[in-house]
Amino acid sequence: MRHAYRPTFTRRNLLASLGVSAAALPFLPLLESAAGGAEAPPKRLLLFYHPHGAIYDRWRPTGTTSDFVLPTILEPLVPFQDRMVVIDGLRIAVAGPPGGPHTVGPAYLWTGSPMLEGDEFNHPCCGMHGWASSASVDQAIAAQIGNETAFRSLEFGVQTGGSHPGSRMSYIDANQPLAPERDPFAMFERVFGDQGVDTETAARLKAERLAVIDVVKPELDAVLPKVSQTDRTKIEAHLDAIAQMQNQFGSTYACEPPLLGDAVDLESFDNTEAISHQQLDLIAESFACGVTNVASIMYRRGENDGFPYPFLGIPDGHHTLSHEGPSNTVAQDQLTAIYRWYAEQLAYLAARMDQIIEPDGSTLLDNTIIAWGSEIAVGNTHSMENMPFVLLGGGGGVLNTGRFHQFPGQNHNRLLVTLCNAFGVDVTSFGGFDDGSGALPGVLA
Amino acid sequence: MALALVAGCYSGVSGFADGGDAGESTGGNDTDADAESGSGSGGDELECDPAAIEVGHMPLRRLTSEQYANAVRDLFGVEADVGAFGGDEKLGPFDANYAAPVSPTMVDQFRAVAEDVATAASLDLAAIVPCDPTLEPACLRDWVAAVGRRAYRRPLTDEELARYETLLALGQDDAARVRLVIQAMLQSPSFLYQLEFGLPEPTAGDVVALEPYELASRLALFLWGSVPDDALLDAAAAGELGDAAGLRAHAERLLDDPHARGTVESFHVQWLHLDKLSALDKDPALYPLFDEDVRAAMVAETRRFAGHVVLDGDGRLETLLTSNEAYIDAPLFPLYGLPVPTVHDPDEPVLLDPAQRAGLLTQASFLATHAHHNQTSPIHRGVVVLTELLCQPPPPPPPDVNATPPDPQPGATTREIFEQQTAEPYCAGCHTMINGIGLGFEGYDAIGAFRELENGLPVDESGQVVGTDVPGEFDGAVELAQRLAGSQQVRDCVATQWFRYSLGRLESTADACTLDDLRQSFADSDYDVRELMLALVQTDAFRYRAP
Repeated sequence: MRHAYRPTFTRRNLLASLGVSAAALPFLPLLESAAGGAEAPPKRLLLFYHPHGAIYDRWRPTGTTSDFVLPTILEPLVPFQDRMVVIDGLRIAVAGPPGGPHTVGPAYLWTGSPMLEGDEFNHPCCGMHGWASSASVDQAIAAQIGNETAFRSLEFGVQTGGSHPGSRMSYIDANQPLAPERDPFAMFERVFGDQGVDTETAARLKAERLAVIDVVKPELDAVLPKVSQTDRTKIEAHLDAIAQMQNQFGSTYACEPPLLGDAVDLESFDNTEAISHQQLDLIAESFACGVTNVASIMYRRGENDGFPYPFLGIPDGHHTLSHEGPSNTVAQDQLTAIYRWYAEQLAYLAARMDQIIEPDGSTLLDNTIIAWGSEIAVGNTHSMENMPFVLLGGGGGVLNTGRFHQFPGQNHNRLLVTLCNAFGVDVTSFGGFDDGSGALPGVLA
Repeated sequence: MALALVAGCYSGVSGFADGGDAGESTGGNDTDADAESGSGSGGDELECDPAAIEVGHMPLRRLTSEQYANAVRDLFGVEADVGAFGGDEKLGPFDANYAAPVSPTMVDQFRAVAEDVATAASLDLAAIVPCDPTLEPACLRDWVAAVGRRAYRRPLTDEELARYETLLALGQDDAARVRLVIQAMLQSPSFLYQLEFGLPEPTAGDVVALEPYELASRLALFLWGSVPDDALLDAAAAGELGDAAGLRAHAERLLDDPHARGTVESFHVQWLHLDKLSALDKDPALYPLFDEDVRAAMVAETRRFAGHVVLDGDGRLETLLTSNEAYIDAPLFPLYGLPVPTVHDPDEPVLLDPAQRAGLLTQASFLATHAHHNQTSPIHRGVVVLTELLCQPPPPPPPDVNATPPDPQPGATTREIFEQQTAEPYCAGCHTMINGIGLGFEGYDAIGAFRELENGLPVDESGQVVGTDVPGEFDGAVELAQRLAGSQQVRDCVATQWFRYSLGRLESTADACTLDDLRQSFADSDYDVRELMLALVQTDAFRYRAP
């Protein structure tokens, strides 16, 4: 691979056993080309998801497009107010079933398309459907810019669920969901696992893995012409995945991998923040190291989210809580605390990205767009009107930041088109719900 | 196939025109006019020509996480971290990977897990390789062929063996050679997928008879949830699986083996959605008894109960639905109102009060799974019985209704507040069916404890069964369970559920004769689930495939 190799760091197991906190050691990129790096850094995209929408009047800023005040939920992002775009008013243009709103919302959110017809998922409430019917925006962008990196994209999860549309938001194509990795250490191993080993071992591992593929791939090739047309898609997807994996073997990167700290119980609700920080650190470092330019992070899940937030003093499951209407002020305060906590996670990541200096002197945050969304707008009505969206970062100067936009009644597909355009994907519509209105005005510089 | 019945409770309700459409997609590719109408009716004339073989389309399936883990344990004697695969798809209530292709992350996890398994297994070569590679030059080659035959569920081809030879040559020592072989085998499509091509000559249309090794693979993956043993593969090679009688004989041997217990247990856990319980919380203020130990003990009880009834007991569906025997660990004694014994073997049954408990539907696992965190859920309990036991899923509520459960209210019973919410004529069509069954479980709280009072008010556990073959009023879940145990619709539905579980696909019209045979065999055995499993492997749908 083209990435320069620096064998000078410690293995994560050692770090984990030492209990070194990531925050204790500021990130220092190892600049291979010293001061010569005038080349513009790549643009990065991160999709950021949290479940169950927002409390609208505690999320929605007040003021004008360029002079606005962030309310309680968004308040943690005040330090980045001039680096963000708050987008109010967009709707997901769908009317009712099939599909429970929490189940189909994560797919709608980034694909902008309805679900496939089918009987794979039968919601006790709202009828049957298959997986999403088209690629999500991150994958559409990755298809264009992803081949420049070892990983076309990376999908992160924090306490996400099983193989179900409520737990997947990223799709390579119709019927091809991408499972998020919920274990930061497994992700570390996948991305940086070979970084700590000596050159000789790294070469051996790579040779072994390629030799194993030499056994497996011809078997898949032999199966391909023998299966039906429908089954062919599955074998082809497997072959594609192997080709991508092969590309990753032996990749080394010109930087230090992150220090994850202690491994924690991934299931425990007390550890949500620790896992979140580990995953966010990995995202920042993966971008900084050139591992990938496209990533997504999904927190918990759209459907069957019975998870409490004990670290916020909230013992009840979020989903049940989200069904409480405005008259239950205790529930409203608790929900506000939950959504504010997600803003804090975003602020944590933004701060970290802003500390990472790129070869041209800009920061990683300057070159990234983080797109934050949820699967519904309001928990107690399951409305998909006035969806809460925030864009954060500069995208390499492509975003017109420090703005609060209101696009009442406009399809959120327009935001997906805007994101595509920001990354040079030249489309005027995106997804099956698109009504042809094109990109949102004024969001891009 | 309870399709035709689906739209029933909506009839006459204006403003919801989709009922029929929603039902139509239920059966996959099956929209023929002669589709059977509901599993229970059995009234339609069905002519099955024994010579004409029709079976439904079979998608390419990938091993479930459970099958993968069992196979790794049986082949290499180590545990696989299958959680890394990110969970299985569901077919109705059952784990089955049949729809979505693999993702790059998943394929990378196949690699990572295979490497971990291979490393762990190669630590003790003597445990997995039956010869000494240092003494016998052909040892590892022979081992590849032998273990490969089980992993691939067929002998490896010469080309495949040659590729493993190349891999063996790369290893620096025997441990490395074994490790590399295991890494490759666990990433092979022949291991990961249930690849089936059938015999070369189609029987009719594009229907092909499975070849013997493919049958061995189906048998083992169904009855053991794992790869076959050598005896089964030898039987395939010897042509012993060529007819229904031969399949039955080998299926009997597999069912007598301890491996079959996990399959029977998992069917019942998945069928009744009990795998959801691990993610459900209960309000600790209302249910202080409910903790991690109790939660785990609940599902363990149902597993043991199903295994004992089906494999050690009389095997009868009626027993599963009405027995008052409980196979419980210490944490469950208080929940069932019993003193905790000092010494107790959970595999020895405890007899519960037969006026309070009857079989699966009154077990704490079922009652706690189908309940909210702060109250019971008559709706969920009604829907799951209709969907999974009667194969008569109610249609989804229309898009414009408030489907949020009402809050518990002091001074009111759950029955009162749920009845109030669903009382409008617009809702009542379906909720008469749903609530009629669900409210019959009001004698049990949200963790399955028996109760006579709720909020200080007497519990009313009366209910009614509507629109099935066992209509009428009943008083409490024990009576309901007895009613369902006598329902032909339930018996036929259970046969359908086992069909789905064993084949990893939904039935379609082309499977009508298979299902008819299956139901007949189930009836002939007086509804013995063990006999049902044996009958399944002899059906056309099990022995043939349509691409």
